[in-house]
Amino acid sequence: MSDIAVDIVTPEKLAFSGRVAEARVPGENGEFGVLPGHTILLSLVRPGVVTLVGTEGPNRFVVGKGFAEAGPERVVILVDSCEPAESVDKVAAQKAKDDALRVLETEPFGSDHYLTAQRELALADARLSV
Amino acid sequence: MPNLKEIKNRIGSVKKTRQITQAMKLVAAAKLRSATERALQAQPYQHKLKSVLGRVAEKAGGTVEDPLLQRRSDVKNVLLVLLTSDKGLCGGFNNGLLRHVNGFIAERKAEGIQVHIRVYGRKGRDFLKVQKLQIEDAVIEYDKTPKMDLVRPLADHMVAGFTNGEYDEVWFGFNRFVNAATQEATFSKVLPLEVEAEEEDLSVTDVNLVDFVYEPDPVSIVGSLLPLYLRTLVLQSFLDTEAGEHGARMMAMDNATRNASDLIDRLSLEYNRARQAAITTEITEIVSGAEAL
Repeated sequence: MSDIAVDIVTPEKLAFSGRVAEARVPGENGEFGVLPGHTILLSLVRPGVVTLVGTEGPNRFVVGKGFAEAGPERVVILVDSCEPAESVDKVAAQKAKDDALRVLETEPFGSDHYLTAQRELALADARLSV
Repeated sequence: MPNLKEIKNRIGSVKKTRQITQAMKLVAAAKLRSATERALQAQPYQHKLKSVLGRVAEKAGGTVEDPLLQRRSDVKNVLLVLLTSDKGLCGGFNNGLLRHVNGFIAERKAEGIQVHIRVYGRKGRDFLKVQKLQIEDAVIEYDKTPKMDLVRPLADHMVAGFTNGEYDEVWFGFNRFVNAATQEATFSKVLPLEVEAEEEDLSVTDVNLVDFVYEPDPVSIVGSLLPLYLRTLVLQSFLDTEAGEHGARMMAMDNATRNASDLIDRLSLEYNRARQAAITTEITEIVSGAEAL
């Protein structure tokens, strides 16, 4: 078998569902690729870019935090947000990044705002990287 | 004998009312459809997350001691999050829920527990104000905001308040969506979280016995997944509330439309009778006038 089923699921909808040759996922311990026949793996996903190889249409997605479950025939990626790379609003992302950096400078480490800003920053960086 | 003009006016006004209720019913039906669709689309995520969480928690050997799971023996402060609608004309939707609020608070007060209230929706806020209950925070006119934008800050607040000991339990009061005609006023405890091992979902592999590779270790995975799970619970409550509101409104407006039709029928009958009576009187007058000549 030369392809693998991929589902990207967010709390709001099924963002992507289709068959691809390879999926590259930003895991907690670094990016990993999933090819058909992959060992069964459960990994956390951090904000970043999911790249799908060998599919028509949008093949790069900016995703938020979540996790991925990979198997020999299927990958399910559950994340709290997902958007195709083409529809990313760079200006908004840059602004979000600046805002987040400002908060990180002023707020005490570990506070609610600090953690939120950290998350925003990671997501903004992912958006800017595509 | 009510006069003809009066009845005619009355019929006219009831007809206009019926037109409005009918339109509202159609709008509510359309909104209900999209709301249930959204609720449906949220389900795969929730199911998957729940099944994975259950499995990983089991894998971690039941020794997961995440702060979000910690049950406290001495409950002193409870946060109650109430979800109501902004707009009225939706039957017993809000009242059915709010009726239970006083009981909920009284029950806890008897045990010396302080209840903090956060409320979504104008109807809920107004009710609490009339009851002179303290509101910690009220959000109104929230139906235009994307649900996730509501859920994130609320969930974060709940987690922060729970972990720093501000609240010992967090409860949700909302209408569970059963079907378009039925909503069930529900009070459910969301924090501390309860995770039970679910039936295995074997969408990824049928090789149940083979062990997963976990990256990083199961315990930290559970730690990261719990806040996400909490969010889906919160999101679900919001989606249920939205769908329930439209369902309740649809039913209420359907009843109102039917009542208006009945009323129109009755008034028309009365109108025709009055008209006939007037004609009969007139004929009698003419006949007796002719006889007199």
